[in-house]
Amino acid sequence: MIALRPNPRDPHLWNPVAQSQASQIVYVGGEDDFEALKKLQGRAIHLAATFKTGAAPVLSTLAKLRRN
Amino acid sequence: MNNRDIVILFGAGASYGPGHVLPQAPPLGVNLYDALAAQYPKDWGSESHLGKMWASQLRDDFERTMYEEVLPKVSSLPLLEWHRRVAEFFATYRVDGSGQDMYSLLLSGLRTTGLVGQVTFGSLNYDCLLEQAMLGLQLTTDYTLKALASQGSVPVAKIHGSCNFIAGDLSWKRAFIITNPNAAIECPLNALSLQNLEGLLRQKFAAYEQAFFPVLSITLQTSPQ
Repeated sequence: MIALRPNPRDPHLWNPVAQSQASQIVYVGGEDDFEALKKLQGRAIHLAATFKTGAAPVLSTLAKLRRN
Repeated sequence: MNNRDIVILFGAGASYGPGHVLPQAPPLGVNLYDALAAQYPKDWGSESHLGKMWASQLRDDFERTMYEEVLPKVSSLPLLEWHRRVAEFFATYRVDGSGQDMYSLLLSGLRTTGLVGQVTFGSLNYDCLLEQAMLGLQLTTDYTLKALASQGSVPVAKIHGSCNFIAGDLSWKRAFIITNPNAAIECPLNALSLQNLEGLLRQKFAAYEQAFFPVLSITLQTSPQ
């Protein structure tokens, strides 16, 4: 997830995120928004604060996931 | 069975912060009302009906105000007319073609690592910066999500609509739209080309006999899935 803010008005989006069985969930965005996300989806990992700093960690996370 | 088991979901901050966007980065929700008011004073400005009635509330919480205050009190026609300006507004934003915006860099990285065929993208953004970046890399966008197994196109779910999504001709529903607030209509949807999108939208919205409106969920509490 890149630069989106958990919003209780969008249950069609955040309920599936909360219930996700994905093997890994990574988040790029602000610390406060990440804390809100953690309340919904406790397995989320914070990679970076901005899109600019987060793209490379996202790519390396995905590449690592593919290798394993 | 498809092998697209990676989902990358973009929010408003992604289009605010990719860099290399013209004429400038699109506003975040907190600044959206003022940006619309400046660009379209007749429809969104302080002297417009919307502005006179709800400007301060729209500044405070755009989505809540549209849903709780505006939607129940106006017929659907003016609401859809205001949506037209929102679509035109977001259609003005474009990546600069240098390939240095973050959408392009991320897509390039996914392609280099052989992962682009395994990704389904989702975006909450009305702008088409992601799709423009894809176009710049000769990647084809699949909005229908029907070809998830195909390697030839990349699925993109525009979860809250998109500035290039246009409902089919609704002129046959004109009376219903004029008289009803919160009119619900099920109709076909077309995705306009990103080439000259602003011009295409103006042309569609200027049609008199036909009635075309954008597909944007800026007022719905429960958005389309």
